Amino acid sequence: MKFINKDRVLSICLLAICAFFFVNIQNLKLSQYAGDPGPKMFPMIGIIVCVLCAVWLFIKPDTSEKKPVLTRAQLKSALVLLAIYGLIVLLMWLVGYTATVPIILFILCCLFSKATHPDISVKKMLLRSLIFTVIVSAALYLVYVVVLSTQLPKGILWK
Amino acid sequence: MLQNILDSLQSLLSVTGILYIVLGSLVGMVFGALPGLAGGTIMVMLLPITYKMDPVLVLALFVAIHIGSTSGGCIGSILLGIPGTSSSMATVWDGYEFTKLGDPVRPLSVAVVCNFIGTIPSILIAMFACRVLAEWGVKMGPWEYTSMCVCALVMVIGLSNGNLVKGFAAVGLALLIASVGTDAITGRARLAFGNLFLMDGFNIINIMLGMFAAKIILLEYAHRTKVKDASNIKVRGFKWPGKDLKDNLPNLIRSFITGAFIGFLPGLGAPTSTVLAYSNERMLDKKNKDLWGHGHIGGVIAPEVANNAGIGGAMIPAIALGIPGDAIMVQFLAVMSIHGVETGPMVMRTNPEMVYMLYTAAMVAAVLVLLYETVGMPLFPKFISMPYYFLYPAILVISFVGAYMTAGNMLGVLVTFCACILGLLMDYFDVPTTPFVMAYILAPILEKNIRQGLNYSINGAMDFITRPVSAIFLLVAVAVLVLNVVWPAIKAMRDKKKEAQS
Repeated sequence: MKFINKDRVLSICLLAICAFFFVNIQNLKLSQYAGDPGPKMFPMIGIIVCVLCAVWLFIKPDTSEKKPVLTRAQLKSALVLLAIYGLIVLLMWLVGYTATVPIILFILCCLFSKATHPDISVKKMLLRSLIFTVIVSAALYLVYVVVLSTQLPKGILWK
Repeated sequence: MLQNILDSLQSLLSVTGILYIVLGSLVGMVFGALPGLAGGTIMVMLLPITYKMDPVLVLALFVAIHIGSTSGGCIGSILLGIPGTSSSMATVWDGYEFTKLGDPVRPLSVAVVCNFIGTIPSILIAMFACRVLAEWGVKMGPWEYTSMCVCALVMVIGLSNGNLVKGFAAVGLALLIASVGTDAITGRARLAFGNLFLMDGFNIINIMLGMFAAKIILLEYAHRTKVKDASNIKVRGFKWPGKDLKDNLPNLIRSFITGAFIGFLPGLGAPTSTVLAYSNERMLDKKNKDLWGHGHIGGVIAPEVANNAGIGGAMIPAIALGIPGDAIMVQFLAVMSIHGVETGPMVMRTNPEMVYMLYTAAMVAAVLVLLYETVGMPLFPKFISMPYYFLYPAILVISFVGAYMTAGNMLGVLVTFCACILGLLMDYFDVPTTPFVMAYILAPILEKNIRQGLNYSINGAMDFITRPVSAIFLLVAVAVLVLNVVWPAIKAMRDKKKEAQS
C-alpha cells in the first residue's frame, strides 16, 4: 500500500481547512445573551466533524482500485473548459457583461461544435458560431437589460 | 382547501399563468429527455431571472418544469439507453431493450401513462399530508427541529455510496462554509475577514449553479457522451397500454407506495426509489424472472411510477416543515424565500396561495405533459437530437450572468466558479456532493435551532434527548447510522461464508 494515496491527501486537506477555520474563529467574541453558546459553536461542530473524518481517513484509507472520474484525455478537455470558466469570471470583472457574453458564447460554441462534430470544417464552425453568438447575445441583452432592467457588471476597465 | 385551490386556479388561468405552465412543462419535458441535463439545471439557471416576476406564478413555472423534466427523463432512457435524468436510470435496463428489438412505442406509451398515474395521486396525498404535518410542526420547538435536521442529514449520509466517513466530511465542510457571513443570533460578522460582501455569506444558488450547472456541463463536455444519434430511431404514435397496466396492477401500486415513501424521506430522492421499486418487482416476479433486464414491461412500469410518485412525497417535508428533501425542493424554497415568504409550518397559514399554487400547477402540468407526450411521441427522437453545441454555451452564459444577479456583485460569479472546482475535487476524492448541499441548506436552520434550544432549555443539552419527539428523531438517526455500519459487516460475513462453502 502506497503511503500517500487519495484518502490521505483528502485527510491532509481537511486538516488544513480545519486549522484555518480554527485559527480564525478564535477572534470571535462571545454572545451577550445568557445561555447562548455563541458564534464559535457552529463552526466548531464543523471542525470536530472534519477532524474526526480526517483522522479516520488517514488511519484507514480506502486502498481499493477505482475507476478514475476522468481519464487523462478527458481531464485535458475538462481543464480547457475550466479555464474558459475562469476567463468568464475575469472578463466579467474587467470588461463587463456586454463584451463578455458575445466573446464567451463564440468561444464556447466553437468548442462544443468541434467536440460534437470533430470533422466539421473550420469555415462552417465559425459561421455557425457567429450566427449563434449574434442571435443569443441580442436575445440575452433584450431579456436582461431591456425587459428585466437588471444591473449587470460594467467592467472595471471602463470606469 | 377547495377555495384555495379555486383561487390558485384563477391565478393560473391568466394569460401569463397559462403561458408559464404551458412553456414550463414543455421546456421541462425536452430538457428532461436530454441526457445529462435535467430540469434542476434549468431551474437553477432560471432562478436569478425570477426575482422580478410574480412569485406565485414563478412557482407554477418551476413546478411545471419539474413535472415535465421528471416525466421526460424516460425518453432518453428508452430511446438511447442513456437516462435523461438520474431518476430514469432503472428505466434503461428494460426500456432500452424494447428499442433494440424495434418496438420503442410500447415502453414509451407505458412510461407516459405511468408518469401521469404516479404524479396525480402523490400530489393529492401531499395536499392532505402537508396540512396534517404543518399542524403538528407548529407545535415543535427548536429541540425537535434540531433533531429532525440531524436525522435528515444522517439519512442523506447513509446514502453516501457506502462511505459514511466521506459523507460526514462533506457535512462538516458544508457547516464550515455555511459559517461564513453573519451570526444569526447576535447579528455580528463571522469569518467575513472584514469583507463587506462576505458578510452575506455564500448564496446557495451560486453554489448550486457551480456544483450543478457548471460542473455537469464540464463533465459532459469532458466525457463526450453526446455522440449517440437518435435520428434513425422511428417512433410511431402513442398506443394505449391498457393490457400492460392491467397485467401489472400490483406492481404499479407497490411501486407507487415505494416512490411516495422514499420521496418523503430527506435526501433519498427519485434515483433511490426507482432502483428500489425495480429491484423489488424483479425479486417478486418469480414467473418472469428470466425476462427482467431483457425487455420486460414491468421493468418500465416500476421505475416510472416510483419516479413520479416521489414528486408529491418530496413536497410534504419541504412545505410543511421547511425542510427540503432534495435539491429541487431547495429551489422551490429559494423562490419562496427570495420573495420574502418564510417557509415552514406557518406557511400554510400565512401564504396558503403559494402552497396551493404548487399543488394546482403540478396537477395541471401533469395533464399537459401527458398531452404533449401522447400527441408528440413521434417527435421524441428529435428532442434528444437537440444541438448541444448551441444549448450548452447558452446555459453556461445564463448561469454565470445569473450568478452575478443572485449576489449583486462579482463575488457571486467567483463563488460559482469556486463551487464548480469544489464539486470536481469532491468527485475526485469520492466525497458525495448531496450531503454537502443538504448540510449547507440546513445549516442556518440547524444553527438557529441548536442555539435557541440551548438558550431556552432547562436541562441544557439533555433537553434534546428527553423531549419525546426530539428523542425519536435522534433514535432514527442512530438507527440509520448503526444499520449503515452493521449491515455491510453482516453482508461481508455472509459473502465470506458463501465463499468458504463453495
